Amino acid sequence: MTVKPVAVVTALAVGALAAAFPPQARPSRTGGTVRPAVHVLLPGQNHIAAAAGAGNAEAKNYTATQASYSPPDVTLIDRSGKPVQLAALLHQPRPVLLEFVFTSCTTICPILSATFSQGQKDVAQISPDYLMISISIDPEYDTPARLDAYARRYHPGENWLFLTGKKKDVFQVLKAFGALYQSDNKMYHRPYTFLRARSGPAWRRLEGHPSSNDLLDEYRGIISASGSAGK
Amino acid sequence: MRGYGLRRLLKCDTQFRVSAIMILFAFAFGPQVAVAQEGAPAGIERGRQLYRQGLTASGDAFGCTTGNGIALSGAQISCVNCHRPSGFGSSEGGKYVPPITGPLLFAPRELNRNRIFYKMFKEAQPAQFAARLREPKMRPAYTPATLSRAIREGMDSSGQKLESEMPRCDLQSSDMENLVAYLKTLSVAYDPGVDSETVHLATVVSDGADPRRREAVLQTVHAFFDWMNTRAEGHRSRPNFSPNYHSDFKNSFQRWQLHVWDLHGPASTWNEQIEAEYRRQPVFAVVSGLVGGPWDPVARFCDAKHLPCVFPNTELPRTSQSGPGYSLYFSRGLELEAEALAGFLAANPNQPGLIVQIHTRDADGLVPAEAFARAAKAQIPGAQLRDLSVSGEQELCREVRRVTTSEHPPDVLVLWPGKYSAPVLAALSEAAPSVKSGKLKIVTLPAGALEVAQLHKPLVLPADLLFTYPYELPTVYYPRVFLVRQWMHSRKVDIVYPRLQFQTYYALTMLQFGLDQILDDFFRDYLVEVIEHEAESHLDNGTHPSLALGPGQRFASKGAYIVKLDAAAQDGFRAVSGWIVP
Repeated sequence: MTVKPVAVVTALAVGALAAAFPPQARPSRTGGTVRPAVHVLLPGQNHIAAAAGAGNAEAKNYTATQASYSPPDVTLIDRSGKPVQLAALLHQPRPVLLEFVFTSCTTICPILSATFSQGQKDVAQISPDYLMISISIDPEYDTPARLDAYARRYHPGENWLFLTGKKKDVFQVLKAFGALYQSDNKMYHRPYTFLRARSGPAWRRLEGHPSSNDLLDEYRGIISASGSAGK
Repeated sequence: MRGYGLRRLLKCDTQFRVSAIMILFAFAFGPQVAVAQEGAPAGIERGRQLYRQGLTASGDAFGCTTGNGIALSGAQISCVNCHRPSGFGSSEGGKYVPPITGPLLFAPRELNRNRIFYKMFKEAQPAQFAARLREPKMRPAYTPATLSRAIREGMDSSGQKLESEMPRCDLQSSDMENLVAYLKTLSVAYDPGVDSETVHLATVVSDGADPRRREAVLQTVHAFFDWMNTRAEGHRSRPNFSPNYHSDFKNSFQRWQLHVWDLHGPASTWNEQIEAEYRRQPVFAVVSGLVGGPWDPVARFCDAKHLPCVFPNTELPRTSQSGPGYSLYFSRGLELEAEALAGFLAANPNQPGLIVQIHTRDADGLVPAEAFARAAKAQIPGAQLRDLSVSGEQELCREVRRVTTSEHPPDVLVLWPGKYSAPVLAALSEAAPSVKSGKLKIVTLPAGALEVAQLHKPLVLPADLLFTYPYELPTVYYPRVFLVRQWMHSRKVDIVYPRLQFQTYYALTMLQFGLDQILDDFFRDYLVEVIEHEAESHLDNGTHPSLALGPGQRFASKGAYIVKLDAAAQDGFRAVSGWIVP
């Protein structure tokens, strides 16, 4: 082992810095600094959404925050190879559920995507014009063909898009959503799910692994708050 | 720590004890047992199928739900996904997946800072991750009954709930027995190539490789091994120098023993030569190297022995196997170059009508020519492709002169000259005055010809001479290059072929990094998993724009530029395309 005591001190110092400066605000090799997301908890809600699920005394497996994001005007590619203008897509006045995954991810992405898969029908009942978007954070490996193979495991409906693209464009999206990961190593990405009720910068960010019911509750909550249910 | 697992094994139930004794015997009588899956009892083999592929004994997928009710099935919930082939677990997305190897699963959990040291202090994980590591759930040894309960109900051997991400699976009893039987054997006996003080490692060279390049690679490898051994000796000779910390790792400060597998003659005889070397002294991993021709024979050997081959210097990697093999490559080499070229031509507003491709009949010519033909057919359907296969320098140069000076030359001439870059450039020079201006628009050559072209006298050709270039451009600055150069200078390593030697250095540092992290858990799959996990973490030194792997990925760089000579540009060439990822 080649780690030296100074490395421990450095690691602790880095840890302290990491605690002081959350990832969204840290400079990144991929360009500039990351736009800080504004995290505001909903009134009366705990940071750990322990009390969010009625009748469930156990702590939830995720945290929920409100934030403001402005997705960049970049062109991504769907799993059939067709270009998709992300800004135009998100400009549509539709509820959106968005996640970042990669196809060779073995641990958290399968659960994130399975959560979307399981929630599709119920989400549609709440608001049928919903849009689910899974964006690959490993775009150079995740060709449309690989993304298609990944998508098929989750039986996506018509409203669920899987997108890849150029690395620089995907990183702009990650940056805009405050989802850049440490060390620029995708293995350190975080399990985020982003929800919004209609076009605009207001999003709700879930970090962790909500159950299908949690996801539905959250979704129902933002739709209800926006007054756009059933549209 | 060594031997600890086996001692624990012997305390368990009778069936387990029999297995353990068999393993102990096998471990004592030869290194080959660790990779001998074929002879495993049927139950263990079926358990392996369940662990690796998520298939029951009857070949069916099965369903599971996570602790918070997310349904998963089939390949989504193979144990191998999270716990990895070695069983040593992983860390991703702020989640720590604990090891479940036989010796660890069937023993009480013990606090072992060494095993989580790297994850605690070096991985860029969130605070919850570190908190989870610092508050391990203690538990007694699993028994088959408590392990079944863990897998079915998500409750560990002490009755505590497992993480919600751990799927709860309703397996039939026979499948559960198979899985338990397999887990008892998982990463029990060390893989070959390691003894109490030494880890044996090989690098592979052949007489077909350019002797100066081969020497540059070997010089770098030798210097790195000397450096590692000097450091290891320092650590081992002063085990109490840092009593809180370094002495904990004393079993990990192995001496690196280099074995140069110097292959001679045709590639068809390599396997026999490698087998003989391996019989003489099994190695734990192969690192870097340079052979003349395809890496395929070495890759096949590595796959057969489950032997990690860490970043060999090759433009002809093995790309044909169905699953991830044991060779980790920088890129797909010439195949990648050919596909990037097709992508470049396809994106050209004036797509070519006629493309002529001239290639040698060896792998250097055939592999990219076939890849280009496939990609061009798919991406430039309107183009007509003529393929000229030649043998030897004379025929190659004759065809180049004939095609370029023809009355009706193609729009694009694609050349894959293999080792004949210099004669082909000479032939192009010779033909240049006779080339009809405005007809032949583009002539392309692979990256291997670029250095030769830069040494060549200026070539004035009435067409764009372009090169595929699957590397980083010289205009991009990498701070780590300075460190690597200084390292080489201070060890009197002549930097003759910078990229080749920097690639070699990267391979060695990834191996060092991997061995540092696995400590004395000498399992080859674990080494591969660590490298897959951390290849993206900036140990690259400017040879490629980005080197990144992931679980099961084998090619770290995925794209290429198209460049052209430009005397005014840094290093004499510049990119005429963006980074093309086919």
